[in-house]
Amino acid sequence: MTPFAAFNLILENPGAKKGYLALARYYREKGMREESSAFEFLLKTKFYVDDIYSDEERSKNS
Amino acid sequence: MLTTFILTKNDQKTVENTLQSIQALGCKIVVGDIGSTDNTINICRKFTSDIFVLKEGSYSAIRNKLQESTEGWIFWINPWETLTNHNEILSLIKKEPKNYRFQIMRGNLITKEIRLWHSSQQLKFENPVFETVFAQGTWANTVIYSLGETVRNDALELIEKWKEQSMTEAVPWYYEASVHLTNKDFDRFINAAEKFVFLESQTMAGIMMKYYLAIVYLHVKKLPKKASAKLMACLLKNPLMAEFWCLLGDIYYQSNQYERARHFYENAKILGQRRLTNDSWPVEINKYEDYPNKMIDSCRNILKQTKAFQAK
Repeated sequence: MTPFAAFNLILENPGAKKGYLALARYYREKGMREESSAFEFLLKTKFYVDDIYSDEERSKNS
Repeated sequence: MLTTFILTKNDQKTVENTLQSIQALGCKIVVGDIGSTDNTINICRKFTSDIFVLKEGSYSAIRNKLQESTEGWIFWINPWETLTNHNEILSLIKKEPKNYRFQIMRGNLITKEIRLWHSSQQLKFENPVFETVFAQGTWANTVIYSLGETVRNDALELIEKWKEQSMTEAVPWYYEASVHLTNKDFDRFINAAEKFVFLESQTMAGIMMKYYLAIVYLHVKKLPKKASAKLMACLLKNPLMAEFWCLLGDIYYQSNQYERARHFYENAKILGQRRLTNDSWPVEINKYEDYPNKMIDSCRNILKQTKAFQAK
């Protein structure tokens, strides 16, 4: 998902975690640490999501 | 050895405070006056005899001329600003020669500017108006308080000349837009700002100009869709700016979509607290806690009242 599409999801439904999740992943893949960790923090604070990355993704990114 | 420089023009109301605030530095003070017709020069004479009246050339050229033969540390302050703490500067000038970036606080807004450097760095001011030093700088903790607007009467005239000399440059449009915004001339602001963001859309200046355009489209022109389109580019570029999320909240608040608005104000608080304090983007400090808190309360109250009304 492009960041633009992710932001559109957030605009449509800012109370759903899907768009934030996509952004956290996007920034992580781009190596933008501050941004990805900020969205991970938002997911934890707002949606109580502790681990947003699947094991598969984690091994891919490590 | 430290020298403090000030460029003045009809600043009799504020310059005394500025000069008093730098006295504790115990340094040489050099005043360059660019044509005061009020009591500014007399006030400055109480603090220094190094006063030069300079009228030829752009403001940057005048500043560069003033500092050109200075050896040692150079500190610049404007005649509407006050220095809050002299101790840090006195300790920095004992260290190795470097450039230092200070936080300038105007009301709720903090901008970041290089103000202290060693002459060996050979830094110069650029731009004929809104003179700026472009360099990397180490952070200083000291805050410089600014009292008010800083647009000089002849700024637009100088910008016009600048535009004629550099037809393809985007920067003069940025400064023209800034002057119109300060003067609350919103139509001319939109015209200049749109030209600037067309030419320079992805830099920090371009993104901030889109944010100011979004504010004007929403709050002045009442065009929330246009505001939203501009704001999207800002959020994509820097999603940790609480200012952007707050404005998104404002767009939905004004459209009576309070639940959505509440989420965006919440995002401002959560993402804003993860923003690094030493980035070079400006900061509206009230947008990180006070304003979103106030708006979240307001949204909750309206939603509660609506629910109660519907239950009846």
